[in-house]
Amino acid sequence: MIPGKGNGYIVGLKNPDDAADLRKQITDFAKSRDLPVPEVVAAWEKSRTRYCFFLLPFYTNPKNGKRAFLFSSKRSIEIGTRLTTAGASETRVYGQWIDDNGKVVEDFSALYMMVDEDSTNEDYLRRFIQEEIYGGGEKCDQAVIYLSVKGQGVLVCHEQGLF
Amino acid sequence: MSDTIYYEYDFRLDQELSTTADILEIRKLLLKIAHGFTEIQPDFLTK
Repeated sequence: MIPGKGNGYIVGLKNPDDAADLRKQITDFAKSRDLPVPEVVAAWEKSRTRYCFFLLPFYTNPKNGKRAFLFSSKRSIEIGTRLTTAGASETRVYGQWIDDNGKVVEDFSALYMMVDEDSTNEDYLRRFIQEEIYGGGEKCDQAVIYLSVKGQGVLVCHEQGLF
Repeated sequence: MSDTIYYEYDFRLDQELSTTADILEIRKLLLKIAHGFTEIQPDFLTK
């Protein structure tokens, strides 16, 4: 993101009780820098529109310190075209997460978002991940794909099905 | 894995005042609490 232009953050917490700690940390940080204290709110409370989205990483998981593109350029374009034709918005995002060894992993991803007033598009995205991301002919090494529904992240997994 | 649910919390840094140092510090701070985070264009999800 661009310093000075404002950043929004989507933060994944495993336990909603951690939100109080998150608010305190952000508040203390802002006060220490004389910044306006940002409002930390649950995403589903802030949104005026019901939406769902998923994150498709650009790169494979680190293996022996190396990463490759997750999909070929041709396949990435196919995926993006299909989703945007179906009505999804696309944006590129940066994120970090902690792996099983406690190491911070950086990710650039495509975020595909659809307005979803009646769960139709949620179902569409779940099927798309299963059939096109995991079953589309090019190997996807992601153990799970992060799908957000009403501000709660659910994980779509190839081997264990949908949950 | 199947019992893991992530709850999303949304906030934004001030448009004029946040610096590169602030952003790097926020990233470190977030990973003390959260499994992960995504930086996103402000208001993309709340249009």
